[in-house]
Amino acid sequence: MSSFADFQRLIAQTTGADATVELLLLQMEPAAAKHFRLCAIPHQFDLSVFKLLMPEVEPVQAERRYQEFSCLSPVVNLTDALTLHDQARRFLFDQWLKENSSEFKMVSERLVKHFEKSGAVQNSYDYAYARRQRMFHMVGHDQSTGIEEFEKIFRDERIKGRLGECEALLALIREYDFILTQAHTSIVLYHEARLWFERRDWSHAEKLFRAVVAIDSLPQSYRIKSWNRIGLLFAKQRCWKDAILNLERAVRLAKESNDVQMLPFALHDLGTAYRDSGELDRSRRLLQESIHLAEKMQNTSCIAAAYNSLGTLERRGGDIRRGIEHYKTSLEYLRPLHDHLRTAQVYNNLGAAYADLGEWETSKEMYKKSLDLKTEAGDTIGLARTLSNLIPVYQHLFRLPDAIAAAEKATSIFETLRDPFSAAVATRNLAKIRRGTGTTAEIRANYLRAIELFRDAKDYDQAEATNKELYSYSRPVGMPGWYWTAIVFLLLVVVGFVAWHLLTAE
Amino acid sequence: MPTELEIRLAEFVDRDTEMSRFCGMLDSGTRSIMFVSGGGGYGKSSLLARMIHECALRDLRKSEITWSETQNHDYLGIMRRIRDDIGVEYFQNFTTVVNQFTDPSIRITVAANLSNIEVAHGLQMEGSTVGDVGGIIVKDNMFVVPKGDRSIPESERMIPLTVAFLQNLAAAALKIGPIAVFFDAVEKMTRETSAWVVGELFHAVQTGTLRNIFFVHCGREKPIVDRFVDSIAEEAELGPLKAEDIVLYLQKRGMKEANLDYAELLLVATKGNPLQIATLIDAVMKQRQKRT
Repeated sequence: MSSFADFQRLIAQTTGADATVELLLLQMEPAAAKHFRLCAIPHQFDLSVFKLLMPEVEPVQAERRYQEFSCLSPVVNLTDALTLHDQARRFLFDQWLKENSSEFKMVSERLVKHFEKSGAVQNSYDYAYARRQRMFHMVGHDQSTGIEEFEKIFRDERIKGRLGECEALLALIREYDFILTQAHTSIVLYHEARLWFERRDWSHAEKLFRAVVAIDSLPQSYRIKSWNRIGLLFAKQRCWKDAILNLERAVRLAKESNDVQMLPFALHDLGTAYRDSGELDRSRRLLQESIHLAEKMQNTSCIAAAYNSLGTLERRGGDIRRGIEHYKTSLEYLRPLHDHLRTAQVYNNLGAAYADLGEWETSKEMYKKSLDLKTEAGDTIGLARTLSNLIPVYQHLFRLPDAIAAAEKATSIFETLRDPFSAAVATRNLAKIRRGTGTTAEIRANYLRAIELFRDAKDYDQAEATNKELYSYSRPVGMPGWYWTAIVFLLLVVVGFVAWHLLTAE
Repeated sequence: MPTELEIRLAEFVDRDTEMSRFCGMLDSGTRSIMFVSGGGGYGKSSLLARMIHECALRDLRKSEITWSETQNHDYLGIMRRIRDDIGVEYFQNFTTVVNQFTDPSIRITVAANLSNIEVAHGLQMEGSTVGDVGGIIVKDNMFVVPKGDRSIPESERMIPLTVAFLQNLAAAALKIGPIAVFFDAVEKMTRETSAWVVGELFHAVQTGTLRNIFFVHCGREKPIVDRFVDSIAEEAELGPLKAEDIVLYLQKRGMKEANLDYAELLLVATKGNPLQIATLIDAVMKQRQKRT
């Protein structure tokens, strides 16, 4: 038989992209083919993971096979490990999921234990890798525990603002789409919606949250959270009517299902939406109800948030002293949480409240505390905002050099952090402060830079307004021509009148 | 005995146009970015391996970053990798800023101008202080998780870190000569990382902040870039192999009898996808081994 005929016969067996891998497996001896299929369960495998996949194989034989596989075309050689090419791995992994065999679960369990034992230092890259891999294989071994682990890691990353990591986690969990229960699918979708919420893509987030609540088997707590988030995303867009409608739905559901964990938060969010829409009395009642329930549950974080919101509400209503009391209570609750960022925000609010009262020295102290904490927490943009708030305080205390230093620092941070609008406002303020003390060149330079920054921020109205300010400053001091004409005219009238008076008197 | 990489490089066929464009980019320096795109199995990684080999022949410094489901480098991971590949000694300011943002034991000192971030005076590190670093390399403590506080947006950490990194990278490229950076499997990058690569790295090349540095960006699709970045970029879209390239490949794999008839058969079965062709030839070889 000719080799071309053999070749033709072999090629005739291939149909579709995945058939080439299938054909390769057919040509392997059965044990090797089985081992090759096992390689699709982990994302990559070094020799130790390879041996773990086939514990029954003698180590020397495993090493030989590892070497043999490394030369195959669908195998990609990494620096210190091997991996199957994407298409081959996807095809073989899907086969495992379709079979959902006890062997797949056992191998997954072994991989869970392997990554559990990883001695990587906490917070290192290796630790993060091992934690993700453990979670991934846990889903294959025990789906519910795996999903719980996924949620924990996802939440950790989201809170730290590492949204790219969240996206990578979603891609990992999606590999199991074929076998995830409907309830687990809905939970994964909820987290995807949260990711888009954090990305501030309100329309996409809303679409996903609405898809989540449409799933029948969605756990009730996630239904409440989803309606709450839909409300919050409307609040972020200042659409108070829609925000309140959806937040009320979340509160109603939480009450109906007696979800004491979620209810205080839902009441708080509804309360702040009413506050920001101007309904202060209703807002006050809801925030107090939130505090009452959170106290029962000893939910310190929620109590702290609600007192801070109440403080802002009272300030807005004109009762600044009462607002200050609430801020101070919020600080009491925040103390044991060691949450520097939120503590700094409350101190900032206290600074603003004392400034409202004209108590400049106390206001300065509060802002300074906020500054220290923000420096500690690395909250640079927060730092710049508090520095901006300090400028009028220093002006009222007649400490112009300090006001200028604060404005310069705020401007510099805003510019470095590429917030041109805030940088423009701070630079224009700097020009205004300097009008009392600075040189003409400095003041002009500040105005021109502010105009440039407003243009960068595409706020052309503010750029024009600043330009007018600069024009009014630059124009030489002097009286307009019509003024002089009027004076000359008046003088002529007076002289004429006196002359006429003298003449008629004689 | 040749290594697995050497064998794969020797089996490489076609893609001469793409290689000559890459070499032209290195020679002329008028373009600094190359976008290589193509579907799964179309040989992007093999082309990249050949480009990397070319850099080795030219004695150029290079950095290689590949994305996968488990190795999903974020912007910080990319910067650390480039630093480690190019030479940590050129990135002392960047490393200091990294430690300030990631190590819980270090207090951040925010200077008036973050583009020249003030080093944390008094910081104890490797038996020395950063204030008198002179010749001592600052060690990256390699923490991935930022300090324990909530809600500081990643973008706020990103900008000072990027500013410090770009300053160090630009200085390094002026000092040590051309640097080539290779990104592979970029379709697995997250949205945030992809935006950073285009908006920060490529933008820095386009504006002239980074000179003497070449990037090769390899993925399923070309990213969306503005016309300014486009003006300094080469493009290479990988297509299916042609019959004559397949014949050449089969011969390189030891099928001396291969001719256009074989190639036509493979073209029909695989639509010219290089990975599928290679896998089929693996199967043919296995079958022949069994028979002998």
